[in-house]
Amino acid sequence: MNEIVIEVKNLSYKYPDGKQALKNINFVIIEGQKIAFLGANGSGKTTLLFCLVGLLNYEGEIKIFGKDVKQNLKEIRKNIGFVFENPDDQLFNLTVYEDVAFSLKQQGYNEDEIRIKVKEVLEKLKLLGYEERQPYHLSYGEKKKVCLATALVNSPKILILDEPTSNLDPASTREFKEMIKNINTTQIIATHDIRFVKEVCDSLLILRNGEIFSFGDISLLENSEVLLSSRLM
Amino acid sequence: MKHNFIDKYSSLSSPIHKISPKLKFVLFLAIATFISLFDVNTKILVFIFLFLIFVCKLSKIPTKFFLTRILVVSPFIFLIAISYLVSKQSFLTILNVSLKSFIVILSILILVQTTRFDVLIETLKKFKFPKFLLLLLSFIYRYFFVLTDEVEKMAFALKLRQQEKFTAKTLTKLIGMLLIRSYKRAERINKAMLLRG
Amino acid sequence: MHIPDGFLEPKILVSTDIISLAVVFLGLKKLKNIDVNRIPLMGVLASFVFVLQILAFPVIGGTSVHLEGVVLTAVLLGPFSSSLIVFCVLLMQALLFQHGGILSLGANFLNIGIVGSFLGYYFWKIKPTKIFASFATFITILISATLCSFELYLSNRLVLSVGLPTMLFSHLVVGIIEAVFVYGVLSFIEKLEPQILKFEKI
Repeated sequence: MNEIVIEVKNLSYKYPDGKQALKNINFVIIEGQKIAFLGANGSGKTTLLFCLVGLLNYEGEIKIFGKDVKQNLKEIRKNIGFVFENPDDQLFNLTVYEDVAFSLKQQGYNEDEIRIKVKEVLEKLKLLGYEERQPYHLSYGEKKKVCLATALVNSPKILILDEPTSNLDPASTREFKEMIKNINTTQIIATHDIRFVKEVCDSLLILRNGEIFSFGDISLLENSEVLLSSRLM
Repeated sequence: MKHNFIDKYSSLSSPIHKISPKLKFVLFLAIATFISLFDVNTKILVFIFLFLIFVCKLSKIPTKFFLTRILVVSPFIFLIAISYLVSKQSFLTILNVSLKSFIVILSILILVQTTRFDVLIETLKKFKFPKFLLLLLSFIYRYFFVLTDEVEKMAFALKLRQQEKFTAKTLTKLIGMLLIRSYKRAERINKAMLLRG
Repeated sequence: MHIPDGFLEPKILVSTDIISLAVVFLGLKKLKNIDVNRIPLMGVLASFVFVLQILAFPVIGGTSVHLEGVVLTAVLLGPFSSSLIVFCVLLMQALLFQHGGILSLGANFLNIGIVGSFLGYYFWKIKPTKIFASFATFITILISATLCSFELYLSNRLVLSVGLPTMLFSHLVVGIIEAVFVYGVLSFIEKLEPQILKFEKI
C-alpha cells in the first residue's frame, strides 16, 4: 500500500532560451496519494508535470514504478492518464467515441475490447449517449469530462490533472470534484482552486520560482505564509 | 513554453545592433541587388563573403548559427552542381554562384538578427512598404508563437496517448484543428476589436 | 521549391519581380475596402500557413515532406487574398529562415503563390468540390516545379534533361501527399466547422 510510485531526484530543467524553469527538485510520491501542486503562474507547475511524463528533456532522475522515465517512456505512459489544462489541445477527433478510444487503438486492442472499455469509462463519467457527439461542439465542462475519459480509459495507475477546474462554472466544478474523489488512483493535481485542494487532496507541493517551497501534508495549508506563497488567496 | 527562436539574437548588444536599421536595410538591399544583377569576379565575392563573416562575428551571432543558415542552400547547390557537371561548366562557376547566395544569406541574416522584428517592420514602413502587407507580417509574427505552442501541446497530448510517430491521418486532423482554432481566434479578435471601437 | 538569391539571371529576376509586384499591387487594390472582420482572419490564416509550412508531414518509410497550403488558402479565401498571404509568408521565410531569396521572391511568388492561388482557385471553381481542390493542388504543384526548372534553365543553372525530370518526380510525391492532405482537411472542416468554407472569396 505504501509503495513509492514516483521518485524525483535533483530534477532541473532549463527552457530552450536559457531560463531556469526548475531547480533542485526532490520528492517522493507514494501509491494512493492525492497531492496538489501549487504555485503562482509561471512557478513551473506545468513544466514539472511535463517532465514527469518525459515530454521535456530534463536533468536529474525521475523514476516511476521504479523505472527511469526517459528509458521507459512507452510503458510508463500506458499507466499514466494526463488531462491538459486546455481540452482543445487533447481533443481532435470527430466523435467522442473516437477520442476516448484513441489511445486504446494505438495500443492495438481489438474493436470489441475497445467498445467495452469506452462504454465503461463513459458510464463512470456520466457521458453515456455522447458517443457520436462532436467533441469540438461540446460545452467547456463537457469537453473537460471527455478529456478525463480519454485519460481514464487506460485504467491508469497515476492520474495527472493540469488545472482541472479552471474556467469551470461552480456546478461543473462540483461535479468534477466528485468524480475525481471517486477515482482511486494516485493523483497529482496542479491547481489554484483552494476548495478543491482541501476537499480532494491529502498532501501538497508548493513551487516558487521553480524550486520547492513547501512539501507535505495538507494541513500545511493552515499556515498562512504557505497560503500566500501558494497564491491560492 | 518560451519561444523566441525566430529572431533570438535580435536582442543582443553589439556594434552592429547599434547601426541604424534604415542604414542596414539599405546596405542589405544594395548588396543583394548588386550581387544578383551583375556578374561579379569570384575573387571579389570571396572578399565580400569574408567581410560579412567578420560582420557576423562582430554582431555576436553564434558562428554555428550563421554557418548552418548558409547550408540551407546546399540542396540547390547540389542540384546545379550536377547540372554543371553534365554540361561540363567549370568548378569556378559553381563557386561563383554559391558565393553569391551565401553573401545574400549572410546579409539578410545580419539585418534580421540584429534588428528587433517590430523595428524592422517600422523600417519597412518608412520605406513605404504597403501597410496591409506589414499588418499581415505582424500577424504572422505575433501568432507564430501562439500557434507553435498549440502544436507543441497537441503533439505532447498525442505522445501521451501512445502515438509516438504521428500518422498522416492524425496529423491531418491536428492541422485541421489548428486551422479551426485559428479561425475561432480570428473571431475573438474581431469581437475584441469591436469592443474597442 | 524556394529559389535562393544568386541563382537566377537578371533577366529572369527582373521579369518575375515585375509580374509579381503587379499581382501584389492588384491584390492590394482589390482588398483595399474589405470588411474589417476579414483582416484578423487573413492575419491568423497567414500565420497558420507559415506554421504549416514548417511542419513535417510524414510519408511512408520515415521520410517527410513539407506542405504548402496555397491552394487550401485560395479555396477558402479566394485568389487575391491567398496571394497576399502567400507573398507575406514567403517574405517571412526569406527573412527569418533564409528559405528562398529576397530578390528571387518574385520568381518564388510566381511559382508558388500566383500559380497556386490563381490556377488552383480557377481550376477548383470548375466544380467546387474537395476532389477538385485535391486535383488543383496536385496540378499546381507540378506546374510550380516546371516553372522553377525553366527559370533555372534559362539562367543557365540547370540542364533541363536532368533537372526537369528530377524536379517533377520529387514534386510528384509532394503533390500527391498534399492533394490527399487537402482533401482530408477540407472534409474535416466540413464536418466540424462548415462556416469556414463559406467566406467570401476575393
